[in-house]
Amino acid sequence: MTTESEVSTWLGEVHELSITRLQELSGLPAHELQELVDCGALQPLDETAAPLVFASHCLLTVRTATRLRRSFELEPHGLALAVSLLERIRDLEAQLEQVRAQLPRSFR
Amino acid sequence: MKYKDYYHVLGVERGASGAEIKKAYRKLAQKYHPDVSKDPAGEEKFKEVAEAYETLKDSAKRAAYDQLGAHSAGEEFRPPPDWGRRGGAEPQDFADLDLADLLAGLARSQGRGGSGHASLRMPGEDFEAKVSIPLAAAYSGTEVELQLAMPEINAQGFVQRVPRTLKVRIPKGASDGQRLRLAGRGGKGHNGGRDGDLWLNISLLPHPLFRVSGHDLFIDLPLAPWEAVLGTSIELPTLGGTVQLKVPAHTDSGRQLRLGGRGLPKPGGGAGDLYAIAQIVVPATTSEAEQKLYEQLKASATFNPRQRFEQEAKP
Repeated sequence: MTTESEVSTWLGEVHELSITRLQELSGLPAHELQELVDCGALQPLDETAAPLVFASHCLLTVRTATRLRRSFELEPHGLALAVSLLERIRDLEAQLEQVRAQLPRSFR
Repeated sequence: MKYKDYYHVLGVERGASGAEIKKAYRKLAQKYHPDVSKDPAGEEKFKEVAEAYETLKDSAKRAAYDQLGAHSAGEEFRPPPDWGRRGGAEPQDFADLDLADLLAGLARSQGRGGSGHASLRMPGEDFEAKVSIPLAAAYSGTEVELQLAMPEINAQGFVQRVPRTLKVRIPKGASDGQRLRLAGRGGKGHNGGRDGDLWLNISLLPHPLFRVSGHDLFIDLPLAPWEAVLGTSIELPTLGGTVQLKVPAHTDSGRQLRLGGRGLPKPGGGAGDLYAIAQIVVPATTSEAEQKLYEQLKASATFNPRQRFEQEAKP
């Protein structure tokens, strides 16, 4: 058993990630990231920019897409659809939590 | 080594076809996959299901697994003497090995299993762990201990799960659902590959007073009717200590009083806000003197709380 101390970074501390940094953090090769962009599962901040730049939360998208593709052997368009629906659910859950937080305890 | 009944995990017969195994896996994966399941035990269940499928979908791995014979799940066993010898070295001691790691090692030694070539640069595995911390710990930062079973290659070249305890500093700045990345603290890389990362998925434990939305906090502020009408100054608890809050006169129920920067600290600096939500509450009982005062107020007040009813109900 070993014990170690850590240096840590919050996701979101940096607002934008270059494709190189995204590749480094996700562990996915560039061509697989490009595939996720091509199938619409991953949206760059500016599709015309070169090299591509992404919002930092896209790292979560990449990790989710990688897991889903591996687990369900999804083809690209199915993967893009699944990822976008999951992100919609996460957004709605966040909005729901925000509304619930503002409700007085007696109403919850 | 403990036996795992992969057929039982997937709910199929030992003679099931590849299509039947795939169908059973997909059904269970949809139910337990951590990205789609809300079941708290789903992630662990999915790991079992994925491990079973990983072996049974591969005809060579399945054949090797079948050669182990049928045992009860969790039963200690040792593979037959000739088992796996075709592929290369046989481990001297099976006791500390995990069945899935052994089967993966066998596939690698037989030149299959994707990226498992001995000289190939292999990045270490990324790990994810869920950590629940109290709100006060998110406010000030905290340290937690994590128990993880990390895959490491032993002296004989076989993957072995080694229990490791990581003491992790969670800096202030957490919000519910936020991810913390610990670079290089996942599985070890091989042949010069980078070490994996450890990702912590932070959740905040419920607090008896404060509710959380992002980095903002919300607290109910109970006010007596006369405090709401006349205004008052109260002591309001915050995560950083008590502050004096001036409640303006004519504060209606539901009104939010904002205390800038009194919420949770943000990772890049600054902090969310604290909102006190006014709640006008009435006493459960009143004394005779109080009753008289209320009667006097009723007789002289011109306030109509249901004025809108009258306006909106007009044809």
